[in-house]
Amino acid sequence: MTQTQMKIWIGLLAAVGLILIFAGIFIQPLLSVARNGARAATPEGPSLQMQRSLGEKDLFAAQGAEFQAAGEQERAPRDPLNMPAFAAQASPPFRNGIIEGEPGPFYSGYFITRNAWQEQRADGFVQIFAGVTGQDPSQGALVVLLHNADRQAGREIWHLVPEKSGAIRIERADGQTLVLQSENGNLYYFDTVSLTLQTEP
Amino acid sequence: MLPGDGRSSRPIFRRITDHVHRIENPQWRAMRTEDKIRLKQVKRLGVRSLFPRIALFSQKSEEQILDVFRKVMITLLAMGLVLGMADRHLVGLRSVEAQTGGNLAYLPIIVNTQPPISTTSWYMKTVDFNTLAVMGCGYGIHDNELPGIQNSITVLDFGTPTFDDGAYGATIFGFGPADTGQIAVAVEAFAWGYYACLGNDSASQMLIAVGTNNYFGGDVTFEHGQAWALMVNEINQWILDNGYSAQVRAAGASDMEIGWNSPETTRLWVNGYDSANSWPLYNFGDAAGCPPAGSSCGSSAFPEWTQEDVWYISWGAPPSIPTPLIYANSGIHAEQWYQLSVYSVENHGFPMIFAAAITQYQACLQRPSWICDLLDNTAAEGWNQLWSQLNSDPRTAQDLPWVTDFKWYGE
Repeated sequence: MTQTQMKIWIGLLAAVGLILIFAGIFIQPLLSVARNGARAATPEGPSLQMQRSLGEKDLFAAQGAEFQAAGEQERAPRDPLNMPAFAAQASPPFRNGIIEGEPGPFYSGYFITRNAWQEQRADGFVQIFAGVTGQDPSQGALVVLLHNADRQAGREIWHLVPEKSGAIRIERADGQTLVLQSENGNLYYFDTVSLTLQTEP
Repeated sequence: MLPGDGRSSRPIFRRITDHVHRIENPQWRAMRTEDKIRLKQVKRLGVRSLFPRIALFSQKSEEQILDVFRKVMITLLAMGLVLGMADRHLVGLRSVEAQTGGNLAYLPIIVNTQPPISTTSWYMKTVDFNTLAVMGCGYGIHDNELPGIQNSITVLDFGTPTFDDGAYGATIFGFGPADTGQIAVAVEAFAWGYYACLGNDSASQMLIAVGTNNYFGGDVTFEHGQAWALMVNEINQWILDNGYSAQVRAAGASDMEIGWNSPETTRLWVNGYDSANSWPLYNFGDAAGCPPAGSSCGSSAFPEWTQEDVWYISWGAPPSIPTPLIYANSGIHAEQWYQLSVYSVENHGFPMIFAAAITQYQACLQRPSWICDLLDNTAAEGWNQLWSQLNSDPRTAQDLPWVTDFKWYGE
């Protein structure tokens, strides 16, 4: 009898312990469920746009599964030495001179391009992007990217203009010199051979 | 009290049954006299006197029993707390919402709270299909060599939208433009390379996100978005027709940044994509100026952005799925996207479900610059920042299946 009762108490303690353990494990997700459930139960529910969007995302999931299943049914043999015959296509031409519409590979919080100038040379390619730093919209800057002939290597060189006069643009190329103008009207000159920025022509 | 009242009759009934039970119970008969006396004392103490009862039976002092009880409870409580906290890092029941589903599902699943294996994404300077096939093959070999099944994403970023000589395309960062036909062939070659080099790995999966952006100088138009969607459809049809679709597929992607264009123009492009797409559109852009960095969203050049605009292009538009750039070491990018997901819950009744975090650590290593010091999260750091923010709030809690890190092709 003594042992029996002791077993009962031990069992009770173990049960309390288990409850605590399960509470520790599940309490956060259960709260999550409760809160999400509350959200789902709001009278509004997902907005109409959200419903439309979620409907299409459902379709993506179903279509992705079908796409994969179709591939399982008819798997192509794996042969790394037998590439399909792709139509030969000429490499896009490299455009020398001032180009618009090319932001360069810069995150806009890093650098925002206004325009660029680029040139193919015997030893590779040079690209010069004019614009403004992403951190300070008054700080004009130039970023020079150098690539070797097979586009396999690069260097990045920054030039900040001396005055905070806003973003700069490349207005024209005079020989090997680029004429730059800031939003405030200041003029700068960039030598594309020595890669130096000057305030005088 | 009335006869038959349960409360008045119960003690008498209990005493009788106890007595009968004791007489009939051989254990009672065999019990020592002192134990019987102790049991009777216990009975008199009542059910609320737990510790004296245990003390009587164990022949220890009540203080000793209390001490043991305290230790046991503290141990169990500690175990509970440890295991509860471990839920965030090991395993547990979590509320999950199917990434692409419209219904909520609360399932017990194993949650990996460690970053997934990161992949590399590329700023492309070429559309040469031989080059792309070799790149894809490299991924295939990589996945084949890794233990287990891989499920990953890579973004091939071909630069800014173009419309040149009657053809839509992208700038490939000054080395183009290349039209959508050329880009499609390049991506197909990549897909073939991946599939062909997987060896005996018949289960790993690769999603190739074919990327462009919303830069204002480019041809960011409804028609370009439409053309991009048609290109992705065509690529997937080719993958299907050639028998690679069990392990590789393509989707659209765009680096839609607040500092690059207006919300109206960017929405137009997204709507164009939506008008023709069969596959998702991953937005790997930013949320510049959005809370908590600012009161709304927007940049100096395009201050008119709102949270609604960023929500729309990233999640609210039917094809859109957010895979945001999480570059900032400060964690501000992750905070902004968490706030956008809260916005989504509060204004559209459903959180944003993120597919990936995107970083540029390798690109910063390739081309170190002063600003990279602030924006060079590693893949693990970016993933951790976004995952932690999202999972700090049950309304936005989710798994985050992918992380990918940008670098320059060929460098």
